Amino acid sequence: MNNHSLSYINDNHGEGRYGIMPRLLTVFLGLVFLVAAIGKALDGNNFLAAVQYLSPPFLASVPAYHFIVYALIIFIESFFGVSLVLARKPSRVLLYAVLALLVSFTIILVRMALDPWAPKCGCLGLLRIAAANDSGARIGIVRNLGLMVVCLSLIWDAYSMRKQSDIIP
Amino acid sequence: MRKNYRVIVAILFSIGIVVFALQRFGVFDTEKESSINHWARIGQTEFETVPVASIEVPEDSIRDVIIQQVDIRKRNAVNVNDDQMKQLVRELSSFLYFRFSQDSVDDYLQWRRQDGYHLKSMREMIDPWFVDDSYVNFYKLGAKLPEDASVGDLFRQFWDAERSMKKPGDFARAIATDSKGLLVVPGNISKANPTEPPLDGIIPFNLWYGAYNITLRNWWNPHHSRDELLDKYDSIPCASVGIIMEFGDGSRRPLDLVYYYDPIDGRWILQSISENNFVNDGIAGLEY
Repeated sequence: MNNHSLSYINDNHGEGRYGIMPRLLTVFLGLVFLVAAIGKALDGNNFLAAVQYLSPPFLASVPAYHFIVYALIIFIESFFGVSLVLARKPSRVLLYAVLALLVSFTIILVRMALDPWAPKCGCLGLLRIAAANDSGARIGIVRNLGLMVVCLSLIWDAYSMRKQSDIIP
Repeated sequence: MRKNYRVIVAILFSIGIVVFALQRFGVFDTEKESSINHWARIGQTEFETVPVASIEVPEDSIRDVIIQQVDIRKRNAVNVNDDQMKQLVRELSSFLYFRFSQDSVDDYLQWRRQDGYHLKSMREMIDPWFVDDSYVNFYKLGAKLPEDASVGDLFRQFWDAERSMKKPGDFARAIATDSKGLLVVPGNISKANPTEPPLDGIIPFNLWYGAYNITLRNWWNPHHSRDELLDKYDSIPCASVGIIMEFGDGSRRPLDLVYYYDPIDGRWILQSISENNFVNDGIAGLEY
């Protein structure tokens, strides 16, 4: 196998040592996604309500559509969660995908925060069932911004390691 | 190949969680069901986790439970003060008591009149409330609605008929006793934005409403109508109230009561009641 091939989870570019802090941040990020996926799997009612709220009118009363979105989001979150927790050093592809997901979720949360009658986002499923509706979306935005900072720092770290690797003969 | 084991583990784990999540909602059940039944079934599972107690108790007991347990979801921008909220809780518990806990139609009629309502005219009750049709086809009280029937007498007849139909699913027998099943969402309505806030609490809004609901027949006009108040004021307080009730057949259904506040008389007005998210199996009208 080519040592320089880019696997989805592990980044083999650069030979720099992956520090303890980036490793901890990667595991933390992965655990947040895992908690979100498991929380939704244990109690998906609030999330399904949010899916229905965000659905185009012609799909708002189609249960199959809600469950496809529900399953897809759980799958993506769970996949990212496990990938980040298991990765020795996450690939940039993975980190960019995680960042894109966080940006998408944040845009949706901003839209929900602007509507005073929007339902709870159900982001963490079982773990946040009692959150007040309006503060729930705002807390979610702050949380996602924090996670984006973590993700960006890991991307930055991946690039800086690459550069180091390029410089070292 | 060894490097890909993490991808395989992640995919398998994710598929496992998805299957687990979908299985909890009965997605893999082979029996086909309509979206009405689908949400009613999921709702029923959720409503069964709500603690309930018999509704045949004194008014004070209902009020105490509501005061202690009600989940009030007041958004920051909503302009409803604490006194108005207390007044709403009093109004709600009185309504539940007089409508569901006690049997005397005269006590109910008297309480509604004391509360500032007057009965609608027969013309209003026929269109849009089709009492003439219900008289013949639903309650089967006669071949034709008598021409000289008064609205008050007709209400009494319907009240008694409802109780004599003896279909267990038609009678409310218990009411939620914790915040999961007792929800008040206050809001403000104006001419430009006349929509009441949706019910969305520990139980999410899609289960409070489901895919099917019926509006119960309202026999009363208030002292000041909503439109009249919205003409006079820029904005008035309103509230959506959600209550999980258990019926005689053991089914649990959300009642959605919509109130608005009359600033002239300083009282809450019951605008409408609907019964939501249940499988329609020929339920009684629950006249009010």
